[in-house]
Order: sequence, then C-alpha cells, then structure tokens
Amino acid sequence: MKRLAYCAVFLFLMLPAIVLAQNVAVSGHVKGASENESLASVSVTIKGSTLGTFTGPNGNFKLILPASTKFPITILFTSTGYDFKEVSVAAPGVIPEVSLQIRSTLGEEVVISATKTPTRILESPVSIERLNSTAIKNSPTTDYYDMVTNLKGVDMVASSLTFKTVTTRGFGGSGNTRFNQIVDGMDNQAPGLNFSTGSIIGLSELDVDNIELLQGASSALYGPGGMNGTLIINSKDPFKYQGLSFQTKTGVMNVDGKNRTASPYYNWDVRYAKKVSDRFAYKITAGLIQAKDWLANDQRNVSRAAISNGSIIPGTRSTDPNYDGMNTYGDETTIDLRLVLNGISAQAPFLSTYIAGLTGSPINVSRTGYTEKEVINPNTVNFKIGGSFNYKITNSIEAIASGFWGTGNTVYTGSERYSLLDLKMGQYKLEFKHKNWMIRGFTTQENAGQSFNSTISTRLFNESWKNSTQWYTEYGQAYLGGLLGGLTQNAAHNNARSIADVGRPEAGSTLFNTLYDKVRKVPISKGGGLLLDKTNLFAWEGQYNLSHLTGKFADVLIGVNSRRFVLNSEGTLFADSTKKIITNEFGGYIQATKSMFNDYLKITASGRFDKNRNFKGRITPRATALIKIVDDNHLRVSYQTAYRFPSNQQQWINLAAGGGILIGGVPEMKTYYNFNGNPTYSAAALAQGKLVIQNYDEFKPESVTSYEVGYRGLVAKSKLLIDAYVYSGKYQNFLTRINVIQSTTSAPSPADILVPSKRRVLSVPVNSPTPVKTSGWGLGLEYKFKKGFYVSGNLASDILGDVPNGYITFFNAPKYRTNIAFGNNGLGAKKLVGFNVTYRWQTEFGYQSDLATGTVPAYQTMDAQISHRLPKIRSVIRLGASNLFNQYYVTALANPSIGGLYYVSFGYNIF
Amino acid sequence: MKKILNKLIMVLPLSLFVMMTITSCNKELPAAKPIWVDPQFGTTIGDVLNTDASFSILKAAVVKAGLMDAVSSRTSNFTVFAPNDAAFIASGLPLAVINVLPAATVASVVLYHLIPGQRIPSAGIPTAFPNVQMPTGLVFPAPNTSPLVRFNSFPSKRGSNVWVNNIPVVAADINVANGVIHVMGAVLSPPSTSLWQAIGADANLTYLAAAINAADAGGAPGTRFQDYLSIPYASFTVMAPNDQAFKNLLTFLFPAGTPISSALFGLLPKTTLQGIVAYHVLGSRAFSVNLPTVATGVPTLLSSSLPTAPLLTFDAAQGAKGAKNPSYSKILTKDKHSYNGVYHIIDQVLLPL
Repeated sequence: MKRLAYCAVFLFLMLPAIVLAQNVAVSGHVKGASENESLASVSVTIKGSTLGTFTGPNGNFKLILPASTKFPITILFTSTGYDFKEVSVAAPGVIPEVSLQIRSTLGEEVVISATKTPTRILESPVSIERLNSTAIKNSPTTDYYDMVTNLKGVDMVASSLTFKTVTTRGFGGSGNTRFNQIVDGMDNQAPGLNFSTGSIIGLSELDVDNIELLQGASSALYGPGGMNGTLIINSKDPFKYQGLSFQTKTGVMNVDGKNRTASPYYNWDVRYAKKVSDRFAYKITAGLIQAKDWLANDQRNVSRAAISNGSIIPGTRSTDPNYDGMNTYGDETTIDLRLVLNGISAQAPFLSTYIAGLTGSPINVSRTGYTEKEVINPNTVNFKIGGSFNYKITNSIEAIASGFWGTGNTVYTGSERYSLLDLKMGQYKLEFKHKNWMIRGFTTQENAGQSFNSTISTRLFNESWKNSTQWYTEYGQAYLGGLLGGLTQNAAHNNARSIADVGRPEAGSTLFNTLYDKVRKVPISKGGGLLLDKTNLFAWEGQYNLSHLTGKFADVLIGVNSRRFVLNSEGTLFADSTKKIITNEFGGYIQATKSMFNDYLKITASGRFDKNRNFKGRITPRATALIKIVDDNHLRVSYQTAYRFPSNQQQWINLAAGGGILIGGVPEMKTYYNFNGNPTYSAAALAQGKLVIQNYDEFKPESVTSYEVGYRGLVAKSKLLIDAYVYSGKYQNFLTRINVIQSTTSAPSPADILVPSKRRVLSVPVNSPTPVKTSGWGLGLEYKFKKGFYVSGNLASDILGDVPNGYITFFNAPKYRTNIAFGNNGLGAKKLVGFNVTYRWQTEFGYQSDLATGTVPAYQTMDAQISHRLPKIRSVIRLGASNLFNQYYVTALANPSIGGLYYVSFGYNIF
Repeated sequence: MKKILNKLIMVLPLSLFVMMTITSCNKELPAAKPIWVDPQFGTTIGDVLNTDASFSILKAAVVKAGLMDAVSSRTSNFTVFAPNDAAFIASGLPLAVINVLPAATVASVVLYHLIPGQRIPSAGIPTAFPNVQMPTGLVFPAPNTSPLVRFNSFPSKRGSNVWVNNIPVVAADINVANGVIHVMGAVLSPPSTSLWQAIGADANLTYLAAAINAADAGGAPGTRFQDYLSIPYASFTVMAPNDQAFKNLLTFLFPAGTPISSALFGLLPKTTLQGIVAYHVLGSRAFSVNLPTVATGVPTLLSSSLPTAPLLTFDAAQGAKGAKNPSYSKILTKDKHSYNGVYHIIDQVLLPL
C-alpha cells in the first residue's frame, strides 16, 4: 500500500510539468432527444483518433485539440443506452446542441472479456452476458450482485445477506473455486479463505460500470480457476463519470417476524470523481450496509458419522439423543454412552446385568447445541471504501493507482458456518495501460479479524461451561436413574439431558457471553475457535496486443502473469504454525484471431501455459470459430479447456472440523501425517467391513474440456435478440475429498482402525479417477416493445452425467432455472417513471457440501421496483422489493432462509 | 385496436408474473422429522390391574402405595412380578392386611416387585448360575444417597420354570403397552436386614457368628467378614452351619472333655478359621431353587483368595459337600433372605482341607 501511495504522490508532482501547447477547442452541449435533459458522461471523440473527452454533469463538453488539427473533423458522440451520433465540425468554436436518441435496437453492447479486445456482443465467439450501468441502476435488487443471478444459467449461493457466491454450469457453493471473479483486473478470491469477496469488498454500486459474465470454461485468457466461468466487473472511469453521486436505500426485512423481528436495512453509497485536468482525474467511493441478517434455521438432523457424508436423517432433539442439527452448533460433540455406563457397571456390579441389558448396541449421545440464532450475531455490517488516481502520462498511456478496502461482519458457509467478524480485505493495484499494452501489479491483503468457526467455538464453549467428562458422567447416571425410575428409553434420555444441562447458560446471558467470547477469541491452534488468517497475494500481469504489427495476417495478443501466495494463518487454518507457506505460480497466454471470407468466418485460437510450485506445468488451449450467417446473426463454435490448481485450502489446510481433520493434499501434508509410517485406511471400505490401505496417486490440478455451440442474433427488425447455447463438459482429475482412517497410537496397528478411541478420521483431497461429465443448454430472449417497454427471459439447464452410485461431485445445480424480466425505464409524457419486475424460478436439486447433503427445494422469487426521476435535482426516488411476496427460500443447505426486503431509495446523480 | 393490443401485450407478462408468484408458494424448508417414539398405546399395567379381578389385592396395594399413575404411564416401562390374589392370600397378606399396613410398607412391597425401565421377557432370563441381579423399584434407604442403589431381585430360570428369588412365576410374559407382567405364586417380601444382622439374630447360628467374630479379630474395619456381610449392595450366599454342627466340629477337634463353647474358636489358628468361614460363603446369590440338580463344584470366597482352593459341591437333592467332608450336609432351613444375600442353614461345617 505504501508503495502505491508514493506513486500517487509522484503523479501529483508531475502535474505542473504538463504544459499545454497552443491549442484550439470545440465545445458544446449534449442532451437526450426524447426526455430533453442534459446528458452527462457522453463520450466525445474525434473519429479515427484517440483524442476525446466526456460531457460533464451539465451535459457540456470542451474538446481541446492541437492547433495543427485540420478541419473539418467528425466528432463521434456515444453513450450507454443511446444511439451514437456523428457530427461534422467545420471549425473550432461552439457547435449546435447535439441530441441523442434512446437506443431502440438490441445487441449493440460491446464486450471486452470474451477475447480481451472490444467486440460487439453479437460477434462474441464465446457465450457471454453483459450488464451495463443502465441495467444496474434500474435493477430492483438491493445489491448489484443479485442482478448477476438473473443472467442466463447463473446460480447463486447466499450464505448471508452480504455473502453471495455466483457460478455457472454447476458446482455451486459458498467457496466456489471453479469460478473466477475479476474486479478491475484483480482476481478477488480471498487468497486464504478461498471465497470470492465481490459482495463484501468489491465495488460500490455507484461505481460499477459494467459486469461481464463468461459462462463456461474460460481459463485460456483468465488463468487457472475459470473452469466454470468468469465474472468480470469494471468500475467507472473518473475521467468519464464525474461529480458527486450518492444513493441511500432504506428498507425493512424480516417483516413477518418468522425468524427475527422486523428490522431495518440501510445501504448507503457515495462516489465522488473529479477530472482535475485533461491528464488527471481521481475518484473516491464508499459504501455502508447495515442490517440484521437472514437466519439459517434448518433444524434437520445431520448424520456426521465418519463414513457418511452429512446426509439428513430423521430425528429431533427430543427424539434422537445423538441429534446434530444442521444449524445447531455444539451438538457435534458425541460419544457412545456405553463408555460411561460400562464405567458405572464396573463400580457397581449390582447394576451390571441391568446395564448389560442396555448396551447391546452403541448409545450415541450428543451434547446440547445452540442454534445459529443463539450464537451468531445477526448484525451484519459492511463498510467499503475505494478509489483511484488516473493519470495520463501521454495521450495514449494512462497510469492508474487504485485500491479497495472493506471490512464488516457476515456469515460464510464452509465446512462449517463461520461468523466473519471484523473481516478486513484490501486490494491495491498499480496499472499502466496503452491502446496496445497493459501492465499491472496488485496485491490482496486478507485479515480474518475476529472471525470464528461457530461449530468449533460452540463445542468448546460447551466444554468450558461443563467439560464432557463431567457432562457425560452426569448424563449417564441420570439416564440410568431415569430408567430405574421406570422411564422409557426416550424419556430417560430427555430426563438425563435436562439434568446434565442444569445450569447451562442461556444464550445471551452474561455468563454465556463471557464464556463464549473467551472461547472465540482464542486461536483454533491454541484450542479456541478463532480463525487467524492474514494470507496475502501478490500478482502482476502484462499484456501486449501485437495486432498493429501483425494485423495483415492475424490479430495477435500475448500476455504473462505471475502470482505469489503467502499463506499465514498461524496454524489455525493451514499447516503453517511454524512458518508462512509461500506458493508461486506463473503463466502466459497467446491468442490469434483471423478473419476470413469477408468476415463471414472468424477463427480465434488461444493457448495458455501455467506452472505452480507444487504442480507440473500445464497448457490449456482454446479454439473458437464465429460464423456470420447474415448480418447480426452469428453462430459460434468453441472448444475450450480450463483447469485449476487445487485451492490453497485444498493444498495446505489443516483444520479439525466436525467428524475429522481436513488436511491438504500436497506431499508435505502426507509426510507431516506420516502416511508412509502409519498407513491410512479407506473409510468407504471400512463401511463395508473391509480394511483396505488407501493408496495415493500424484496430486494433480483438475481440468475440464468443453465443447459449445451457440447462436446469437437479432431478428424481427432488430427488436428480438436471441441467444442460445448447448455445451458439454468433461472434468478430469476431478478434485474431491475422501475420508481415511489412521491409527493414533504410538505403535500403529491395523487393529486400531476398528477402535474409535484409537483412530482418527482424516479428510484428504484426491483426484478422482472417474471423469465427470456435464452438459446443458441455455436460451435467452430479449424483446423491445414500443415506448420503451422491454421483456426478457431465459431458461437454462445443467445436467450431471452418470457417476458411480454414492459418488460426491458437489455438482449442486438445479436442472432448470428461468428468469423473466419486464420493465420500462421511461414512462409517461416526460418519461420520468420507470419500473422493472424480475422473476426467477428454479427446480429442486440435490446439494452436497462438507456440511450437509440433501435436497434444496425448488423456489421462485420476484423482485420489483418503481421509480420516479426528478430531473431538476438530477435525482431519482425508487420504491423496491426484493422477494416481493416474502416467500422464504434457501439457496443451499445450512444457508439462511431469504425473505422479502422492501426499500425506498433516493439517488442523486446516478449515471 | 392496435393500441389496445399493444397495451395488452405489455400488461400480460406482468399479470402473468403476479399470478404465478401468488398462486404457488415456495415450499417451506422441511422441519426436522422426529424419530418414531413408541407411544405405548394399548392396555397398560394399570389397566390390567384395574380390569383383571385376580389382581384385586395387588391393585389395592398399588393404589395404597400411590403407584397407580406410575404403572399406568405410557412414558414408562416396567417388568412387573405380579402376585395374584391367591398368592397374596397364600403369603398371609389378604386384602384386610393390606388395608391396615402402613402405606410406606405397602409401597416397599409393591416396588420390590418391579424392575423399572426394562421389559424382561422370560426368554431373557438366564438359565445358568450365577443368577442375574436386577435392580427393583425399591431404593435403598438412608444413609444411602444414590438412586442407583436398589434392592435387587434375582430372576432365574431352570428348565421351563421361572423364579424370582425363590418364588415361582406361575404365568410368564403377559405383554402390555408399557411393560411385561409375570404372575407370581407368592409375594416377594423385601428383606430388611443385612446378612450379618440376620446371622447375629438367628438363635441357631450363635456359633457361626462367634466363628466369624473370631476370624475377624484384629482385622482392620472394612476388610473383615462381618464388614463384607454388612455391605448393603453386595450379594452373597452363606451356607450356615447351625450351632450343633459347630459343636460337633469342636468336639472332634479338641481333646475329649474340653467344655464346648464358642470361646474355643479363639484357640484355633486364625487362618484356619478364616479359611473355614470363607469356604461357607459364595460371591453370588443362590436360592435353593437355583441349586444344581447334579453334583457340581462351585467356587467360594476361598477360591478368590486361594485359586487352588477346593470347590464346594452342590447337589439340590443332597445339599452341600465340603472337600474333606465325608458326606453331604443337609440343608435344614433354606432361603433366609437378606438384602445383601441369602443363607441356608446346614447340619455340618464344610471343610476345605
């Protein structure tokens, strides 16, 4: 950060050095034709040159040109949502007012991420979706992130109000590592915790210029990770979008009081940008969200035996002594009560025959847990701040120093529910860009703050209140006492629990809080629940577009990048208690595009090579062909490969969780756990009564090969935009986890594996030898009516191919999901009223995670907003609702039930 | 017309959304499904008592003991050893007597007939010695403080005959909603003394008591025979030679003319005396009905301190025989029951060596 700050200062110092030579100017005013209002942020460029400027907040522009400029010139006016206009100017001076028509045609969007060069969306050679700032500002959702969910084929997992993870083509989950998210060129995956932080520290909504979504394999250009897709979010240029903007959303949620009492929702955003000179501009953004989070309240019973996979089984606290609620924590602690009963039997032989009559089979008893509501603070706060200094060193080279920093409280679902308290993340970047090249370096600085694992913490809390030895002794005696009082088994268990729990601190009591705080503030490695994580990422990348040299033959693009992860969890998450773990990776890519047959065929080939310290190097090729059927109608065919290195957690985690210890898959971990000297046995085989030593093949990155055919075209007089795709993907060396069992005695023997007190369960990542196949399709339609009404809809399906019975893929995708949107951004005589309604429905699907396995019910949800513009004060008032009918739904198991959120917003100077 | 059509097209999707969303609701997240707990519907033990006329005295006793609710509870389980009216009368406890006994006394009698918390079918009762020991509903009185320390009963089975202690079960395995009933041929009476107290109070066993005292002389409290025989929750069988048996032994051991009295025990080597006493005590409870019908060697307390010690031979028809005794000792009085054991009076002192 310090270095970047120096750079910024340096840029300021350079300012006075810029002395403008004798110049001429063209100035004027731009307005919207139909609404008759000044248009800000309209791009004003001289056709065929890089010279240009933008209109200011009042619609005025002043284009400074060198004195040598030869008139007449043609000036091009472009603005999102408007048709472009060319104006011929004969001489310097003030030109007549320029008015732009609202765009009535579709498919004019330009996307960058498909080929890393600007391309009309209609001519993208791969599947891509784009959201521009107009769509974002008219969205009924409370968070621009939610908008992504309404794109074709997108699934979202909401771990909490502010923690949302999107993916495409399956494999959804809170910490989805098969989907890249890139904000202003920076990968925003938290390097240690391995989740995307887009909704926590990303851009303020007011600063989002556009969002591009690449569905499907995309690592050829974006590096390892983008196996299922890549989401690219770009912020607004301070040269273009200037002035002060702010937006306040005030709402109410939990309105029916079902899970919590009705509570307010606040979401404030502010952005200020200023163009100081033609060379220098800066911006500052900030955002704050405050609310009471949705509640995860799935009380179903989860089987967490070592050899099950968290399946949901019948049982409640009062009918299953070993109950382990999905969103109840602390009840993961379990023992076989026979240990206690046999102890009583030994001390009281006169009861031994009676006890022998009870102990024919295990009597598993769990400790009493606390619900999520009782242990996780519902106050969710998210504060983010960001900004950039943009300096044009020359007319064609721009330097950008930018940073985002965010902090807050939220809840994340990993192998357990984590309360992310006081989490801090920062991303800082320095970038130089030119029309033909770009070089940037960035760092991600992560600090887990006071985050704690709710399960571990609550289990330890139980221990600190009454240790399990004592609790189970009391329970065992009371259970026996209850039976001797005549009680049935079930009644005796409940009676025993009530006795062992006498004095159990009530959630929220002073004693509870004191004990709980004590436990959660001690690092996991020292026997507490605190997650320490200060893992950092340092990365740089460069890209060069050689097309100006090779243009005659083909357009060629090359790039290189390098990353360095510094894992630092002080032994609480990774096996890094003695020293930080450093992992380097680097990669490079090349892409060539050739147009043939008068642009009727465009072929792009790209390839990428990556190498990680812990893995062999690897090449991922991609080839695409774009076939023009007629103008504005294109067929695209692609062959793409992608792969990813195992995530840092899959490489280096070392965390005792639930029923066992999660460990990383690198050879160092296997050495650490002495797999050679103390062999591990397959839990799956043990479940079938067999002792089989588990063998491990080389730990490799996983890869996917995907074939796709798509069509995008405009029909019905350019009023209807159709986009469709069909794909199939094949995953190899699929990364999954298996449970193995290892002896814990000093002289390990195979007999130990059968004795629960002499063994432990390790969860080890491995590559599955079974290829996993997926396929799917998507169809999207967008139609523009007269008078600005629009309807759009999409339907997409993802299907998992046959896998062996019981095979865990974490595919986690509904077979069908559909989104329908309907709206108008300018109703009425003055076009001041706008509205938008979106509807989503998805089918039920089987969900697999480290925490629980079961069915996520089908759900539908509807968002709506109506807005009124106040052009005189450049403001807009909006009434909106997300989940209008307050129909609760969950996006994944163990995650919260999301209800309706109703808000009023006021926005000033929203671009 | 076209305008109307256009408007219609615009309104249609909106109304469609609203219709769809309102008419179908998201499925609630399923609640945790309780595991089926047997509601124990049907006839309870209480119902049987209330309706079966042959249990009228037991019913009166249960009511008087205040236990009718307990045995009618559907969240309870009991194995009930239920004496019918004939059994009560045979045991000298007709209704009139029950009516005049103090409620606490009646309650202790009733509780002694219950094994709470488990249903024990006759098939679940072992047929071999030693007998199983089951806690009854009767909690040991003060100074005991643990609800786990109970008066025990001893169900046993020999052939097809089922017993509790020495009382026969006349009809086994009446299964009801909240337990199982075994009909008894007589009332089980809860013992009220320890073996040591009972031996001390038995006029036929003054020499045995003296022998034990002499064997214990100088021993540390807590380690003596009399201490063991006083432990409330222990379980022993004592083959108790009567005074005449001891007199015969002493006469045999001492020179002719020596005046025979229990004081002579003090002249015997203590280890001899201890060995003899230990040889009369079994570490488990054997009622006369449990004795083997063919001659069988059984370890005594002597075997636990001296593994090579000879066994005691039992034969139900003849009695018990020590290794050095030329003949079986007859059992003169059987099944004298204390809470921590049972003793049988025999006519010879059993000699191990």
